[in-house]
Amino acid sequence: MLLLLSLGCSFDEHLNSADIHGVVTIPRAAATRPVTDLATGETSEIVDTRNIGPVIIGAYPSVVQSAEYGHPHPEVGPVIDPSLPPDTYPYGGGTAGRFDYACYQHLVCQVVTGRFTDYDDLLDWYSDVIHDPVVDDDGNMVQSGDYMRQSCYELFEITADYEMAWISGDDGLDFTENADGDFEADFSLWHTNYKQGMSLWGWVDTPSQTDGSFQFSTCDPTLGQQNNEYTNDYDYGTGRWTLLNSPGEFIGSGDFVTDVDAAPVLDWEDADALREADPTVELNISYLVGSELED
Amino acid sequence: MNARIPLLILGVGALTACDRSGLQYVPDSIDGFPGIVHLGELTPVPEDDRENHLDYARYETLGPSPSGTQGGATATVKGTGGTLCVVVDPEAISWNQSVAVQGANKAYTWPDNAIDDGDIDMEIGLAGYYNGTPGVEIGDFEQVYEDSLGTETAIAYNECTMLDVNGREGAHAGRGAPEYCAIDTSLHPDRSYMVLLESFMVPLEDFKLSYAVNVYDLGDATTASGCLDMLDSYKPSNAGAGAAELLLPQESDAEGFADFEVAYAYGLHSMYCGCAADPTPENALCEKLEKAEGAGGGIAVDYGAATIDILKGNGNSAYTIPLVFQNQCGDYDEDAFDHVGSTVPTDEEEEGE
Repeated sequence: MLLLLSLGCSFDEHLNSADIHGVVTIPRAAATRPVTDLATGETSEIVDTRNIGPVIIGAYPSVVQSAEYGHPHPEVGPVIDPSLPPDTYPYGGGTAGRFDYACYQHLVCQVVTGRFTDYDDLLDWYSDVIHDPVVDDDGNMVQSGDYMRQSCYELFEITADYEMAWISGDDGLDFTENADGDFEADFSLWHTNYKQGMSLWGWVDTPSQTDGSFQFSTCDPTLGQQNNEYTNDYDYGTGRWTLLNSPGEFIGSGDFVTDVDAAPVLDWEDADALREADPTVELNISYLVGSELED
Repeated sequence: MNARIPLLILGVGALTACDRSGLQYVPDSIDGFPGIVHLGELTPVPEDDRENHLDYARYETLGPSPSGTQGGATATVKGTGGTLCVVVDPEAISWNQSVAVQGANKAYTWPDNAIDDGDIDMEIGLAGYYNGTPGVEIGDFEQVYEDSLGTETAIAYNECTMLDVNGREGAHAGRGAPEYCAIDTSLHPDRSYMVLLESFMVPLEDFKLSYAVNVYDLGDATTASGCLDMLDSYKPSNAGAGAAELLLPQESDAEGFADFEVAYAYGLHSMYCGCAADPTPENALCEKLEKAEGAGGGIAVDYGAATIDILKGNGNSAYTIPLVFQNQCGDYDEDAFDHVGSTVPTDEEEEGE
């Protein structure tokens, strides 16, 4: 009986899908942000992984220099309705960092997982760099990490920081600086449909760079769980639905995408061969959108 | 012996259960009313001839389709290079009766006649993408897209996308309700578009689904709002969302239906039914009807002439319609309001809840 049971566990369905793992590299510029010294008015630049927006990575049939968008972009299917964006029909995808709700309406669509170690780390970023101090839902400025922790625990009825997805701790941040001064993070594309010759392609949503503003085009503040605590009436916000299918609709000047020649092609014969090889795919996202306009 | 009695009861029960076949809901074909039909080409209403738009409308009737097959109508319309608004209005009018113990909506306490309504779901796409056979077999606009690696994906080339309450595509209007779509033909001027009108449901009372369909040339209006703006341009003053029924009136052959559509446009339909069933001032629903807003000037009920006047704000009559119990009104179930002690909730009961 035990032998039969153990044999049952070895059944291979030969599914045409695989978990794809890799390392994504983004340029130092994606972590660089201008900062104004409020006392002197002087502007300088800081390099900080907290400035890195969500990195969206997909598996596509191919990557081309898009005539419509003017930058590298996955191939798209037919345009059926001119009022709707074309669809890339991706095979799968994932992210390195996603939007998470950090307990206050002030932070809707602004906080990405894998970027902040704890509450104080987030509050410092907003007060010292963004110059947009966090306020709670009553409009009071939040100056203490403990106060913010209390707000989160009360709202979500939790008892530990690990239950807040956006808190990474000192060892859980997504991106680390490499020898070239760029930044790297691990990524996984779970259960991706495999097709020999498919390409991986990704992009970084860079936040707005002006003082007092930290906005992302990939987040929809009208989606996500609703907050109806007392007189509150707002949504937590979450990533837009079509980031993989219609990325060109959300990519703007200042964002970074994978260049046509840099998109890795997966050439294993089938999903079984890919699973057996279990490669660590290297994906480089270094093409600055908008740079083509400067040529 | 006693143990066999339940078995005997069960056996008799099982036998009697077999006396209901449901075949009454599977009708035979009806001569003169095919279940699948091609209407030919529709002519869009020019922008400068909107006042005569009914001259362009098609009023048709579908019969039941052969068992196990999808029924419906198809028609073509040429792309103008601008935007077209296609409207279909199936018979008749449908609403849900309000039977709430508390807070019953007085406009909906009289039930609908649920077996006189049909439902048509509309899709529109380039005729070249239509995979049915007009007049023979109903299809859809699904075709296969093959990407550069040869992966095939089925795509619905239907351009008539309606949004649900959550803003997602794929919705349709319910039974008896008009559907409309704006189609941007700028990429394919002079090409034929196929209008597919699927008979989602035929009325159970006669299995004949009457409907009206019309196409309006919106010129270069934007697809997002042009169709709705066009519909609103036909909307009578102070009418509610039900005014869409008035665009293509009398799509049902039931006598007096056009009058009932007017009552529906002003949200009076349920009170109208209740009052018409017993047109006396003592009838609580007549009393409620007289308190309705109308076209801004209230409602005047003439019990002698059996008419109601829907009044404008200046006191003039916008519509005079006969107060006659019609086929659209359902059978009232007295028991439905036993819990509130009267045939309809009183104002006090409604307000106090």
